[in-house]
Amino acid sequence: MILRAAGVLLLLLVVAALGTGYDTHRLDETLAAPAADGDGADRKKLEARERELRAKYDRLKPSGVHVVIDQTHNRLLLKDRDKVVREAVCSGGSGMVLQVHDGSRSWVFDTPRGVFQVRSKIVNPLWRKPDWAFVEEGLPIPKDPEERFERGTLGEYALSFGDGYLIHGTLYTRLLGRSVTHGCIRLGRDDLREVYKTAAIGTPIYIF
Amino acid sequence: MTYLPMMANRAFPWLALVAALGFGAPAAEAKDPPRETEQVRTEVEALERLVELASSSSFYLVLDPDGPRLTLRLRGVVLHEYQVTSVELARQRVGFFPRGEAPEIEARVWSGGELDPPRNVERVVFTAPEPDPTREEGSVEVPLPPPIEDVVPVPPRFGLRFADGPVVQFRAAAQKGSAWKSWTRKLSGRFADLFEALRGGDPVRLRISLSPEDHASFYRSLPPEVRFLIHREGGAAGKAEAKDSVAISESESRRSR
Repeated sequence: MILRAAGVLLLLLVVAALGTGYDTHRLDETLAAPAADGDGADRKKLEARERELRAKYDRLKPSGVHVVIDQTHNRLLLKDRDKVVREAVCSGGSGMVLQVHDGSRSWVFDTPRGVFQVRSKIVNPLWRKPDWAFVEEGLPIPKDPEERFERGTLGEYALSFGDGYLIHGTLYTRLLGRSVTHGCIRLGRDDLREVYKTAAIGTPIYIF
Repeated sequence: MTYLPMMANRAFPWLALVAALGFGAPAAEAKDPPRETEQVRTEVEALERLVELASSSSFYLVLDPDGPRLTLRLRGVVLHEYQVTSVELARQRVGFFPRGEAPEIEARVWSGGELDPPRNVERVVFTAPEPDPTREEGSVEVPLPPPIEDVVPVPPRFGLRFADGPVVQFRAAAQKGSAWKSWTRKLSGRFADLFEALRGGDPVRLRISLSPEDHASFYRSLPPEVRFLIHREGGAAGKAEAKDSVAISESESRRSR
């Protein structure tokens, strides 16, 4: 008797379990079909609005060359409208935290996300080393500003996109493709040349 | 015996006329099929949302269910296109009874999307040595952060939760394998759904299967507070084509990049 009741209960549970979960439907088939048609005047207005919105949307997009940087996968795309002109391996911010030995100061080495633009273009850039460059090396921060300048570290060209962030070259080409920088974007020599040549001042840079 | 050729002779000019007048028109329409006013209205609403998103400084995702196509965008620029293999709307049922209403999802912007489980990246902290003027430059070994693949494991299923919309659940599309593997995968999915429904989880979900590479890439690189819009980019033409040709089998819909 007990066994039979347990069997029935088990069967009920199995049936209930079969009816529990998620029903799935393809989204393109699920979306509502259009309802009754409206009148012609309404439709003309809607079509005019549609054209206006499409034109507005197109105006929001860059009309020419722009740069897209995927900092997670360290890839840089140089694009002209929808066409990829060049795809390059780059290096973005390491995400590391640098602390001064006594904990009084710290820096986070992230590459910012968002839209920027090329603000200036420099040939044979001099690197004005910030404080963290000395702290990281265990060196005292120099009092004389002249001691901060270093030539050759940034490669042949640099493109500034604000707040001290640059797209520049590197001596450490073996690290390209890894997130190792202090926030700038590093590129290999040939890719940097192409980006420098193609991207004018004002070129939008999209970093995600 | 003579009837048929006679008919053919008489019918020929009419057939030619019908062919000339009739067959040209559908060919032109096939390019831009007529749309219902409501379709235009939905398209206008979606375009308004799209313009609103492209005018803001937020990252946003646009899902075209007809493609299917999922793109991450910023200011109208497609930053990345993810390889979608299927898009489904899943509604929960408990003991055969459905729970929750199917929401209005087309042409609406969902905001504040965050990954669930969240992507926690533990930052490497490097404490610099005491400054020493006699130290040689380059003598301090600064640790290199590990690659993201080593520090961010990707769950086989994860969600994208919005403040004002249904949950979007992402899964990695099944790779080609044995029938046994495919069966066990389906069974584990079925059990996961069962437990989720018993636990009283989200009554409605949008399920997106991505290629395994893009599934991982999406989880590791999605910007915070992303916004989301469903927009049928092909409009009426897209819908018509989709009905005829979209086969969302996982192998068929893989596109090359």
